[in-house]
Amino acid sequence: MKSKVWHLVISIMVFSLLITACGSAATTEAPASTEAPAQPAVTEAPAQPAPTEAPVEQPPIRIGASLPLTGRMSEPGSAAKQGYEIWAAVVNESGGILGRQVELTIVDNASDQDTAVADYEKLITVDKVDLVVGPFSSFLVIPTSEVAARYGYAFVEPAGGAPDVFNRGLTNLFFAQPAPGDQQAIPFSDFVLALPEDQRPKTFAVVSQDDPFTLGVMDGVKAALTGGGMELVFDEIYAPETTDFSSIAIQVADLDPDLIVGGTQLQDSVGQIRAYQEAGYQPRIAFFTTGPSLPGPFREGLGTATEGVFASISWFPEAEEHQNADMVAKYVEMFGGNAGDIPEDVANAFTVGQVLQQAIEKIGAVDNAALIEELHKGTYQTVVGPLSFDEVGKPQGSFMLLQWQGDTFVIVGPGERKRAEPIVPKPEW
Amino acid sequence: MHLPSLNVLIQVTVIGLLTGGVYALMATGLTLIFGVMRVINVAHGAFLIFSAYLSYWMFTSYGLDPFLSIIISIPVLFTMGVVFQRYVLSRVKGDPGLGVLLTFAMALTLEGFMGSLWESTGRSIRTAYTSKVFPIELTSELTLRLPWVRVGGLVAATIALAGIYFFLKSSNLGRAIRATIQNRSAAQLMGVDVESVQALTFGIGLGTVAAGGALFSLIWTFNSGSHEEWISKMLSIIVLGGMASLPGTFIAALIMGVTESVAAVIMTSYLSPIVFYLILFLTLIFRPQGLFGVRIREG
Amino acid sequence: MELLRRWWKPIALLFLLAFPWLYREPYYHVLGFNVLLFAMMATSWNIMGGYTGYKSLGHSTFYGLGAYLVALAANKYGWNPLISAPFLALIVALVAVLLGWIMLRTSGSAFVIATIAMLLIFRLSALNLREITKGAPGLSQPLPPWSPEFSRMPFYYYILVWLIVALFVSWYIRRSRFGLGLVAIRDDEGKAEMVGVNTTLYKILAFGASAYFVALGGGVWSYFTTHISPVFAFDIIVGVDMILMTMLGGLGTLWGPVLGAFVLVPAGDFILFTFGSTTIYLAIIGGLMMLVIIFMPKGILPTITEWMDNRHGPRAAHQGARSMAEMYDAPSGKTTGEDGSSHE
Repeated sequence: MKSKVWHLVISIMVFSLLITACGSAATTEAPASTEAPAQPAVTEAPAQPAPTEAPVEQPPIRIGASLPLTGRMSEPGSAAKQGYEIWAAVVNESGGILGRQVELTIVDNASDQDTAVADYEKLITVDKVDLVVGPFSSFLVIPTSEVAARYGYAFVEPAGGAPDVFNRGLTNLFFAQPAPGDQQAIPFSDFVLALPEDQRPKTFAVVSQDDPFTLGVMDGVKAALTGGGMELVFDEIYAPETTDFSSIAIQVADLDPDLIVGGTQLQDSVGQIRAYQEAGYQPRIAFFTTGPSLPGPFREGLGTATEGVFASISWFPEAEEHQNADMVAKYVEMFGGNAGDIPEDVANAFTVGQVLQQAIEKIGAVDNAALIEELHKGTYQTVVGPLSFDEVGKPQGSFMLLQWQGDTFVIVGPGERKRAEPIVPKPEW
Repeated sequence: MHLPSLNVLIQVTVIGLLTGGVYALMATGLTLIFGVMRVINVAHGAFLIFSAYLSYWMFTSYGLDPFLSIIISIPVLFTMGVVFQRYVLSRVKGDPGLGVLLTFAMALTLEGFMGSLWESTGRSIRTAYTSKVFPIELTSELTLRLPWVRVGGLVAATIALAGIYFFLKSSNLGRAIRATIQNRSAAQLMGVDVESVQALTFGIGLGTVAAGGALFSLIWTFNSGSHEEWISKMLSIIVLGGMASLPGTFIAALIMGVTESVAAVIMTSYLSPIVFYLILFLTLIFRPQGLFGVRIREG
Repeated sequence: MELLRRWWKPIALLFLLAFPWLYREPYYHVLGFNVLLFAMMATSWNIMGGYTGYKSLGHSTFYGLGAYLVALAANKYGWNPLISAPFLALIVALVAVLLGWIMLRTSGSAFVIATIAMLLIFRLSALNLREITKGAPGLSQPLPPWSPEFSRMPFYYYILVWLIVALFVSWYIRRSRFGLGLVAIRDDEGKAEMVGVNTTLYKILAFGASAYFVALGGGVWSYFTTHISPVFAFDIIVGVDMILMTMLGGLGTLWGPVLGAFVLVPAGDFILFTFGSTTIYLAIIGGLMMLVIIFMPKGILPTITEWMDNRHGPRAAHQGARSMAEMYDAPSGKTTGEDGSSHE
């Protein structure tokens, strides 16, 4: 007899759990008028005007993003958040997009792929944001862009330029930097190969994190430098969470290549350089992918050892590109500091916003399918210069070369973008 | 797989030895705890990271050098150890598998709290002597470069280990601990208050990990999730060293330090931790008594 | 009441069948899928951890192996994951048998640690075998061919079928001679051997069986998320979740792992989305696990039964125990004695 009570209790528990867990669903069944049709179909009929937007009410345009605000990508991730926030502030002060204010929903994925995927799933299906924008770095862009594709959302992203981002047949993704990853170090390899014979390095080493973005950049560098007659004497990939570089540094020091290329995010660029210092390795030229382009933390981690280090960059504070002055002023207003402290990732995230805004204003509606189609066609004025995208979302521009000189870095090429003369060979660290 | 030059091998061996000294200090507490309680404290790595965070916090907030701040972090960790053993771990008796699960749960809890407090960004301490080295010129070809922090680590570890050794040899509590390690029921019969000895041992074990954590924070970058990697290193050290043997732990730590460092240049640094995992796995299965000492079996 | 007792299983099944249509949001399909997936995997873990008493912390090894095998087969040969997963999981189960043959020389803490080491070895190998696994960045799979609007529903029903299969297998094992042997091993391995149980063989087979559905789950999950990487495929937390669910629901019972999954998966999602942080999630999972181990090591179902027994004296206790056992062990009161109180 008594056991029956427990059958009942348990059955009810199971049921009520399911029901309470899902209770909120019933209330949010509203038809999502601004949501796109199922497929990111580029071939569909050209931009129909969004049919159901009520111009009288002017609800905000809700934009969602999941960023690595903690974890190993937290520095660039937090910078990207600032970039999005600055853009939203700038837009809202000038009357919004199509008269609608912009409202951001930014969540933290702790640099974790599964969390990032779940975040976008929730942003799209539960929070029902109108638009999504990308996270930081290819590592997170690859899985999350597929979520966006599944629901037909346009996916403009600030930092995910690895070859694997573009080769999966997605048509909804747009990389808002001047060039894809494998071409980002081209200004550097061009610079090295153009050095006079007596200064040009003969040997080089590549030490990279196991990350799609850094490996993509490394592939480009290796091809260019070996193609130019240099010899690759050491090529190593390490785990993303590696913190002890002593064994690698001892080997590099022993081989003593003229040039070191590091495929790094921030923390490992600091770790590598410290280990090279300990091992007594003094390269003539040094290049690191990400790290040197984050002025504050890079200097803090290394002190004067930063002198002479090269990196690629898409943006610099004094650039005279579209809205750059607004962005820099807004940054200083919102986050303090001065223009020289602004990380590049702020500008990349801001670029995402600029691209979205111009595309939406062109089609006159917040409609993902139309947006995707427009983004493949147009050219957009951004803080990193004019951007346009090919059929897989690859941007069609090029990067700049920076070098650390004194307390900060300066643009040393290519061509007319140069602000200072590069120092070769680099001083000892 | 490639053969490095002799110079490289000598350099990495020396670095490995220095690192092994720090490993020894980190793993000693684990050995003591297992010896007395017969429980594998899987939370040891999390406590290590926690004390590294304490050092980091005192360094960044008050400018206290990690070599000095252990005066504060050792008592803190000691207290945590006593409390954890007395009020949590001692409640699980019988099934040793449950004890492991419980300490694992503790590790997760700590990781979660550390992650919320300090975020999961990698932290490290940069002092004036970071990246400084003692160069020792052996030949015109070969200059050994000994990083200050690792030499300091080895020295500190040696002092701490010697201290523990003398404490175990000559103090009353030390003798009680050793008696409990050798034979718990006999110790109990001889009037040793095993409950208190267990709690104090857990405290001492975590005290040593506090010292290890201070050195750790000077040498490596860490975040709240790092403990997983480090607990597996420490486990393989104590398993290889024979679980309850202090000298065994010390020698195993040096062996593992060198092996890891040499493996990194012979294979790749990416693959080198597999040496730890394989040694742990194979020792547990084929030589449970390790190099020295007792067979790890039941509680 | 009598009605409910008799019909709760069909009713629950009916509800689960109707669930995706009652809650149409894709998000709830994801949640439902995860609940069923973990119910299946915890049921599987329970065969080794609950019946046999060998608590593996490294079961994510099989999850990861299943995920990678299925993903690789889909990428290389175009095999449909939903068809290939049950077969490829057999390969993983075979690997588990081999690993079990080596590892089950240990017991107690040594076994737990050995399973962690096993997981780490496989994870590091997956990271380093870059030609096959593409390393840390991970492996993408083709998107399912059906319309995105329904993308989660087929997964949901697919895993529901397999949960039922897993429960049937678990139930069948538990009441077979094999299952009795396993419980005998858990209670006293030496004694079990003396009464003629081939303990080594039994343990190895149980290990293989408990790996099978976990591998299957990994395989389906890899198609479900479309992108896998070693760090998440071989994530120790997946295995920990299975343990926690089983222990919360009732270690060694048939329905305990399912109950645990139905409670913990939605709770975990709620925590994750409320606090928006994986670290708080870890702290709560860890804290909960400590509480369960200390205060309710037997889990919800057995604790409830026991409490009932004590309240209603020995006679009612006997009945209560029997009908409880029927409920989570055997179909409506057919067997006696044999299925006894399966917990403890």
